[in-house]
Amino acid sequence: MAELLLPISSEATRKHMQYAAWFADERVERVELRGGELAVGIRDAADGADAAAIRGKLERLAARFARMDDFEVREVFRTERPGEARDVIEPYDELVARGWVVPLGVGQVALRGLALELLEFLDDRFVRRVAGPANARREYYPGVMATDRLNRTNHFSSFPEHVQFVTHLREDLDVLDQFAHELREAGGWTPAILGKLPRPMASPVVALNPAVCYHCYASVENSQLPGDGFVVTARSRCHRYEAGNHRTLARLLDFTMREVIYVGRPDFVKQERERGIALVRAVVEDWGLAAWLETANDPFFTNDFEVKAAFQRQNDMKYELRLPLVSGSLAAASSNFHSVTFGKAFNITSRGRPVCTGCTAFGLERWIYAVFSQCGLDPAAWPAGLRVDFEAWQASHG
Amino acid sequence: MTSDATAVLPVLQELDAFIRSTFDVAADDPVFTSDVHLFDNGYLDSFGAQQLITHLEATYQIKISDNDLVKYPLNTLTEISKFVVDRRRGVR
Repeated sequence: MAELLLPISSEATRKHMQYAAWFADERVERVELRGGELAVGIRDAADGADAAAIRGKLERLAARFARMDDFEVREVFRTERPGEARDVIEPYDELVARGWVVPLGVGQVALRGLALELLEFLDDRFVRRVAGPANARREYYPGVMATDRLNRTNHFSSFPEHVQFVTHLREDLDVLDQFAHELREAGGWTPAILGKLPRPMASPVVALNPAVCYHCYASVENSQLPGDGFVVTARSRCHRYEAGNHRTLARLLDFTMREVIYVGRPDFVKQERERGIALVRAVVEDWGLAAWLETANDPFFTNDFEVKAAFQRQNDMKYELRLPLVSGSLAAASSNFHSVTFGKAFNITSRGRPVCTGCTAFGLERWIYAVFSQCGLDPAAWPAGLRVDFEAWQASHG
Repeated sequence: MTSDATAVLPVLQELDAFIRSTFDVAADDPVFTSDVHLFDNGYLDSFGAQQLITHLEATYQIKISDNDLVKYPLNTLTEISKFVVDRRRGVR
């Protein structure tokens, strides 16, 4: 395995490249920070020309994120753990050992026992305590979205690296019969089977959900809202391909997101969003969790990253709630103001203007991970606020 | 030296017209003024911001860096117009 060393002077850019470098080339096998350099391990780099080409891609990518040090991070609030709190732990191996988390593949897990109980408890509390005061209507959405609709959200152009298309064998008896034949010949599925068939797959017309709220906007497209706006809450499986970055419960390929979604006039959306932030703060304070809310930006992958990211930060369009772990921290929730992006994309208007949208989003598996990290695996030893609330939930859920 | 009202006015008028036509702002919109926060009030989003920057650079022959977006408040027509005038004069 060859190794490329890229000197990157900006600390913020180095950290972002530790994530983004995985998307530079399929042959990237390892990415790590080493002082002021990014060390990238490359497999099957046949000759110097290959390595030079991959270096060129990495340098192009680093140039995209070169000005990240200019971004000011502003803290909105911070909560602390109780004075008697136990040390923060790294819980993943123990969760696997207890069988509460079962790795099923890259970025895929099964949850059982206390991990699953915790997911349902957290979701119930977010619905009651954050969605409830906003009189949010509960809705149900599919796990996939039509590609033409997803296209309108700008998701493809902003996050092409995350997209997971869904397709199927073409409706063609020759293709289906040949597929079955090749499968029998090979003694079961291998990826090479598709290579033996001429044009076997249909062009994808759906993709796996990358977020919950897009469905909300699609469900009211081409409409005029009668009042100031409405609030919806929904939970859905979400999927983002993150190459070599998938790990533990902190970055799954397939995860569960609860969102509280605000649609309406600018003031309505901003007020609901502000209320959502205050409610989230009350939850983490009551549970005795350490956390902070800070300005953030979406990890736009394309050349216009810095313009979009700078505007998001300048205008407080995105906040992330970060919970400290043994090493670093985890963004377990976000609060977003999208302005008119989705109102325009789906032709939703109010009093003649495209509506604004916003959302408060909770990555439930990340919350599980953060709670176990900060509070341990024994609910009896959890901070009093969290323990009492969890026990009350258990009592009401048999 | 910073921007003065005489120099700012034509830029402000041109920008007003550009934003109204590009982002479908009604002529009788009572909220849309030269001091309205364009993002908070849903006239521009981050994609619209890109269009606006492209327009400013092409129309006024100036360069707007990512650093400018972080450093200067560019949220209202007035703020953006003053920035354009100052940048053309080499002040900012």
